[in-house]
Amino acid sequence: MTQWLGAVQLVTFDGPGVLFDWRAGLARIGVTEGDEVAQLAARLSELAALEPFRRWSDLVRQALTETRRDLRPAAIGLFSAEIGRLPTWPDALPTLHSLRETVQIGLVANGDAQHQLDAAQTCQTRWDVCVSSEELRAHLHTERAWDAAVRAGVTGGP
Amino acid sequence: MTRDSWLHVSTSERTLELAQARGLRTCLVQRPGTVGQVQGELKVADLHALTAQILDAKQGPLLVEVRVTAPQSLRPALLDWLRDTLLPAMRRVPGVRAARLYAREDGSLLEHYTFGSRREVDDWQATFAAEQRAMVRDGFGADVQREVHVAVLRGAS
Repeated sequence: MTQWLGAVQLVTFDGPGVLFDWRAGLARIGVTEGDEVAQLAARLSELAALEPFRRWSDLVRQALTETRRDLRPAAIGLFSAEIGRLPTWPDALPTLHSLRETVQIGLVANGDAQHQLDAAQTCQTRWDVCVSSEELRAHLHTERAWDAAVRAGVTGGP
Repeated sequence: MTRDSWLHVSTSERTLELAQARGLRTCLVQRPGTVGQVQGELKVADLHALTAQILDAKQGPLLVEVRVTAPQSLRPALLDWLRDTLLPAMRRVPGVRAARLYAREDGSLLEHYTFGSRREVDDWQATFAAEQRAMVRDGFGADVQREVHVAVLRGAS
């Protein structure tokens, strides 16, 4: 059923969520309730769809400020700046290190360029492909971002 | 890179729909709070499951070890040729993820090539390997022996 996996040459990951434990990172600044996290994610999706483009750290800062007005601005600012340094899921690093023997690996994620650099350091790897929403000038919830990502990364058919 | 050889992994159904609509392969990873209804693509409980499926499908990665023995008089020139000509050529072979050359204390040489999949090793053996054997024979004569061993790797780190 998954024979097509044999033909895969490049595996790209969304950073927050797939490689990084976003919830554990939020818990560090006191955001622990499940519905707060869901609210934050929903607000981020709304903000990401708005024009003009704004950096991911700005959107995270705004969404957090609106969701949790009691948090210190310094804590929010630090969290927004250090998304690439969030705790990784236990399966993230072994996966990256195993897969890079077999395929190219990459990070295609909402984030600032600095987040991507931090993510490489946190994951103790180097990306064969690295694309941030800051570079695309569009967030990955949008058609425009994927059109640009595909144009940048695909050289042939089908 | 073709669209169907690119797999994007996400916890976001929206992201996967957009990638899938452009012909990319997609995989939903279930993390706490993930709700995924993406149809027709891969869904895994964690990244270990994804890795296992990719490695199974590729029957890889594989280590191709070439044990090289040569008369002492040929070793310096052979070492230079392997390092400066063969290894760079091997790094351009499709599917080669790493190429390294080692000189052992006893004077023998080891070429190590990591390939991503069994198919890529088979393609190399059917095409470039014969040409490379001929180059060694033409350049250094029949006294140089290159013995090829292929092993599937597991637990790479």
